Amino acid sequence: MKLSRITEILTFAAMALIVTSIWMVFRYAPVAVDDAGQAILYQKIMYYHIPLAWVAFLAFFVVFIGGILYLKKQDSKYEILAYSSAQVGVIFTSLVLITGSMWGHLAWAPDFGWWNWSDIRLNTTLILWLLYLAYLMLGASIKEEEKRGRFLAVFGIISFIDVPLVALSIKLWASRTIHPAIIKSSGFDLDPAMKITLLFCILTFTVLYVVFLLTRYQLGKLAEDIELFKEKL
Amino acid sequence: MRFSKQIYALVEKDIIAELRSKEILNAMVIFVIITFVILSFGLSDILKANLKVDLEAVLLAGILWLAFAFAAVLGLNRSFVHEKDEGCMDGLLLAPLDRSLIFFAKFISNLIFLLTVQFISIFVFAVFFLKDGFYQKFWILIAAIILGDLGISAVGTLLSAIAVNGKARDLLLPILFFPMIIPVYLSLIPLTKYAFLSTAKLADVSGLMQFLAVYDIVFLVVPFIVFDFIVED
Repeated sequence: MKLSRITEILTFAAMALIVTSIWMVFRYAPVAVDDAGQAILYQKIMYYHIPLAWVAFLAFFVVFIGGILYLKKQDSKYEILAYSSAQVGVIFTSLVLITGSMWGHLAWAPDFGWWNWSDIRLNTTLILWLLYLAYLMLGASIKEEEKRGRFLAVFGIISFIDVPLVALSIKLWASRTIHPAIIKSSGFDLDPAMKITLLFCILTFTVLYVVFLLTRYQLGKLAEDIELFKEKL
Repeated sequence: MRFSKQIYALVEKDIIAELRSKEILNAMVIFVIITFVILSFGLSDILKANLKVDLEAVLLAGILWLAFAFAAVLGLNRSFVHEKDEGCMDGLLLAPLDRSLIFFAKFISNLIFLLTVQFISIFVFAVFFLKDGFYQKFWILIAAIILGDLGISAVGTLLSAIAVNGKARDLLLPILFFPMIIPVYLSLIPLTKYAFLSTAKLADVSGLMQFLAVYDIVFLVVPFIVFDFIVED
């Protein structure tokens, strides 16, 4: 089956999943209640925040793998794949930061404003975002195609190696987090209906990521074909 | 034996070129001093206030490493410019050398430049900022500078070899470099804070030093593997 056909099918699947997930988030999942019995409506943002974060990490992992494959096989399709994934990843990370700030602004008031500089997860995500913005800047600033592929691959690999070090250093630097841990090693710390909704949202956003990635990848392929035609003329 | 001779020849070349032009070292030292002045004017009310000693120590650590980090970028920016613009890189690539040795020699030259600049400017820093009680644990500062510089030079040399190929190369390097050295920066600040505190114990700093050592090893090993792909022309 052709890639464009797969993308089409997945696009329709994503649309159906998104509609269902909106229904699940706002109708199916129960409203969270605090100790005093007050409804916490802003908790609903979790159903978007966690899937976005998961997809962002997945996207950067694809950048890493794409980089390794490019250096091994020297095939430009891996460069296009990695670069497309980084673009989608940066968008998703931006949304993670925005949704997280919105939630934190309400949940951590009045101790914090919109940002908490002593938190490990917030700051690691921020540095992650900066690293991959730099990756995109690097891609935009190098003209020669073959050189760009190699440099992007190397930068993609070392930034992925840098991320755990960033997390560790922030841990040493400010050894606390007030970020809630929904997914623990012992399993999910959630009401079953909430858990199903969250998992469904993760599935939805993963499919959405694949749709974006494939669309952007085909665009990159077309751009490459045009360059080849131009050279022939 | 052969390798050490080759590295020695490459480093000697960089140092002789620098001693003749003196364009990097002078600029870096002056830049560090200017940064000290600008920061102390900007923070003058805080510096004048009677701060608790550990707060003052961490403030000074921030000033010191901010100046050093910016100066490092200034120097790293130039490190491959001459090689590229005047065709020296082609000569190096034609020479019967292992490619990784070019990286390693450049890393050593950058390390020497950085240490020289820091050696000079630390006296200025002491005159401007340090009180009598701040010198008792100075060995921690020396260890911090050496461990930090290893990481800064390793990452910086690799990234400046990449950035020199970009369109706006002077702008590109800081964008690539700063997010990547966040782990170094975050562990150097508390480490330097302890260097100014007479009560600091080895237990306070050993974790931070171990972390820096791990970072240094990772970013000395990885460039060895990937540097071939960067200079391949």
